[in-house]
Amino acid sequence: MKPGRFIKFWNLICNRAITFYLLAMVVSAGFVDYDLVLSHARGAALSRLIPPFNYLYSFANGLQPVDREKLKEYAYYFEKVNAYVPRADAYGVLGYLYFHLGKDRKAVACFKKASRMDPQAFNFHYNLGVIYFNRQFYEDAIPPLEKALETSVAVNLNYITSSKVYFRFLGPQEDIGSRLNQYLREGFQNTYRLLVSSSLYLKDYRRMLHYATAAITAALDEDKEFHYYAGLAAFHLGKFVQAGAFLKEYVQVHPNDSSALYYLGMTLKALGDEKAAEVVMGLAKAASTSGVSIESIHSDTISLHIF
Amino acid sequence: MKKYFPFLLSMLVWLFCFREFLANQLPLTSDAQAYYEHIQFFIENITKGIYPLWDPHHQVPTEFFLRRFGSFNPFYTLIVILNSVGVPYDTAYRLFLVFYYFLGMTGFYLLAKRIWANKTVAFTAYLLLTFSALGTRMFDSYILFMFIAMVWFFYFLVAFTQKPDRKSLLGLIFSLMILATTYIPFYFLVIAATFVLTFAVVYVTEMKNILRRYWEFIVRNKAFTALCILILLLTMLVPLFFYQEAGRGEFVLPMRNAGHGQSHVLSVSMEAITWWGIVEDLLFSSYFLFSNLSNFQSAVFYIPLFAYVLFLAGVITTMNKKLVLLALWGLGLLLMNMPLATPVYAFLYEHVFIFKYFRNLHFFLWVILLPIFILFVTGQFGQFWSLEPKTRKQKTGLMIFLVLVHAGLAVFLFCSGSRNWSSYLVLVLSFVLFGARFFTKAQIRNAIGLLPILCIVIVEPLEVYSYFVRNYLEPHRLASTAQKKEEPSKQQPPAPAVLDHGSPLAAAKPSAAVMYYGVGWFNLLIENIDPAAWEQYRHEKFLVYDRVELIDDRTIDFEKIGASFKEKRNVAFVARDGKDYQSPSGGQPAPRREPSAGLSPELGLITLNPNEVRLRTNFPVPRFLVYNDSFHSGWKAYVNEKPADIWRANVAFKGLWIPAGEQTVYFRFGAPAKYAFNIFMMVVFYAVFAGIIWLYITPLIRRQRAG
Repeated sequence: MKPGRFIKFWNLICNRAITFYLLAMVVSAGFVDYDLVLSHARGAALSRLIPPFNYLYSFANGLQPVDREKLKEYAYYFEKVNAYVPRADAYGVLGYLYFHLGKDRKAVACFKKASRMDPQAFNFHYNLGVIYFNRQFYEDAIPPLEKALETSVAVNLNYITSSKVYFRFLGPQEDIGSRLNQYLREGFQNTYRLLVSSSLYLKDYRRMLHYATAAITAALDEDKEFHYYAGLAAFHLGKFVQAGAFLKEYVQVHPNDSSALYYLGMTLKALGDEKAAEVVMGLAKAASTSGVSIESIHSDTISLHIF
Repeated sequence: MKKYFPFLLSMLVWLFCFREFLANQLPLTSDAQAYYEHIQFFIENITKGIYPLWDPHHQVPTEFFLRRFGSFNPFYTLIVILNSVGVPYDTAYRLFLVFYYFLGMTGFYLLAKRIWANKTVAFTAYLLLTFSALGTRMFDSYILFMFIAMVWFFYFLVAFTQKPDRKSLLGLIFSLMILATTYIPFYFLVIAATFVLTFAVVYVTEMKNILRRYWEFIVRNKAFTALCILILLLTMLVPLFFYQEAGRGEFVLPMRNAGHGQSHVLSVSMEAITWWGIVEDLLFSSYFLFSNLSNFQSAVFYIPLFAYVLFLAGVITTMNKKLVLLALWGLGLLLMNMPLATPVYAFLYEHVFIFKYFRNLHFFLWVILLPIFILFVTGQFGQFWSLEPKTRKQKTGLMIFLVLVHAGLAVFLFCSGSRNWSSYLVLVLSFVLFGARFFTKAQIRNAIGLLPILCIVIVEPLEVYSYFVRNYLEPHRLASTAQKKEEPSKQQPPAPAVLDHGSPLAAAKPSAAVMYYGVGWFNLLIENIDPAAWEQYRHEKFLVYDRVELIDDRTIDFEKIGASFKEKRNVAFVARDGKDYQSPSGGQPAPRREPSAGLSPELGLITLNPNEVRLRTNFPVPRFLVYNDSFHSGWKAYVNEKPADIWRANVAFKGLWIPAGEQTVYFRFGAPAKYAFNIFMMVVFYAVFAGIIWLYITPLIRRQRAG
């Protein structure tokens, strides 16, 4: 380029606003600690963005109906939290919110991230299993539910109570230990229920029997419902003696359960005891209640855990 | 009329956006509420001929915080006028706020016109500022009180620099007077100092001529200039006196001063300053733009999208001196007021005393960086608008550039999650506007007036402010609905008067740092007393005791005092405060009875106003009267016109011995000189304002008579 044209070109560029902007950016980058400024600003701005958690606390406890606008507000807040300071508990809550906003895929992604960040937390695996179960992806539901069962109650108690995110949802401090224990216990029970149901829908009675007996062994069967599931599974596997034992145990606590009585009758018939079978079948016909139903284990009765 | 039509239309649109506000359906919140109450209290008393120096109605009775709202501002007269013709105070105040806001916007328009010498550019600047979120701050803040005076200061400064004359100088002085006596003048001081410095650097070659013009004016108008300087110096006494009084320590701002130990009560700690600043405000605001615009709310920084179109379009414009001045000034202010970004602020905080006295650095974003940015982009707009592409190559290049700018912004908005129809409409209209400007016949080009620009600027704010009002209104609408469910006949009880059964102290709740500002002794009492004891004590304005017990401030037994309050013991606790104390009761034991409370045949009220109380008493024996109004050294007492000692009673209140028999007790706050000075300054402010009006009107009258 000729010197004259170069000078003309230089003057043309130097005098432009864009040159000034670029210079300003370069100079300021030399003086300004952007990382420090932004990290402080994010913390301060996030603390101001925090919405009041009254509604979410009530909603998580089943006391408030779905309010999409409010849930979106919380979701927006937790998106920002995770954008700045990714943390498992925040992803967990975000996944919970996405689920209730009907964004299952995003919810699944959040729970997967959370479970990778903290594999020992019960609720991330559990919630993932619930979502898959609700979408009838039973085969996909089983692995996370099994992982949920592998977690420890003590570790989870510690995790929940020390979380900066979860403390808002814990409620009064007085009996928190016993409440959380009960909460986790119910969670484990529901996990077994989901595993039993998934196995039933997949017609994998061996697994169904395994999960039901595991629940019994884990002392999660005060109501003997897992005895019913075990009996059902054993019946379908042709293990009539086992089936009979389980169903008998169940029927002693639930004498009016027609389904259980029916299967007990069928078991007795299979074992060759026609008379006893006839009596039990008669009781089954006369029974008023239908008792436990596998089909009732769906999103209406088993919901996500916020923590 | 035709030339004012776009302005009137813009005003109407703005008023439409905030019609709920004018209809009293949008409540004032936060600091705006506090200012409303201050100004209401001030006006109510001034119109009765009382200059209030004490505020007995505040959460904690205390010296009236006059400097907060600038009590000398003549524009408050508008509220008085409206109120006097029957407009309720609430509506009158809101009309005043709107008037004051548009006064500021007019000043900004005139300033932009002076700087860019182009009406279209100035109008665009006016629109961008008017429809920015600055106007929404009148609902939750007081920064407009600072901003409007500052805009007019810069207008008069530019006017005086361009052509020195008396009216510009007087306007300049008046603006400075308002700025010096409203809120904290140090914000303006920083802004003005940085402006002068930047101007001196950018216009170094012109400085000589400018100073010479100033000097010539001074020489031609010696007396006038001297008078202006004298008035300004007098005005400076106001913040100086306030600073000195605050330094005595009786007046405290516990929340503001928290963490700053034994320093001056008005000072703030570095932690308070750095907690929230410009970057935090910008980042927080960014959460409510683009994908989350429907949640737009108070204190979110917003500029109409057209400003960003102009900013991007301006990248190809040349940087003239004015643009360089604005850019350097703005960048300098920005970097200086980011304490974590550079060590500059920390250095200034340590070595320049004024930096210890203000903390809201994000105010700079609203009151100066925003207008600087708007002036900058509109300056570029002026240059861009005046481009004249002649060749086909130039036109094609410009077309491509415009497509890139508008499409680029559209893509950016879409990728940011924006689904706001108005934002995309702005881009379409803007593209059409520039297309009409550059690629159509001269007839069409020349016909483009101000209205298309008005339409482009207001489109997005119409949507944004609908969300703002909805989000602002929703929680308050629920509250007002709940109130309406009560019986219609049930009126809200009137605010308790000073001597009602309900003492204003009834509102004070014991908790640490309960008050924003107040009297130090009260703060001490409220932080240490048993809440149940306070609850027992706080309801009576007057208590009459038979016995006094002296206390040492170094070892105040709050438990004992609290127990005495609870059990209503007949003893007042009095601090010596270095004075000689003698009990007129002669050390006689007190009768076993509770202290008398409130008015009675023995204690009657003669007069009452914020600055004074006159009582008549007729006790059978000497008694110690405790007036449950904050103790302050500014209060004086007289019994039968003879000065009497006021003692600090029950830790924080006023007390004095009243002799037996018929007595007249008179409490008064503030020395006569203080009243005289305040009234005198008020007269000076009104006189200067009248002088400005006179200097502007006189030439118009002369021209009319001549023509």
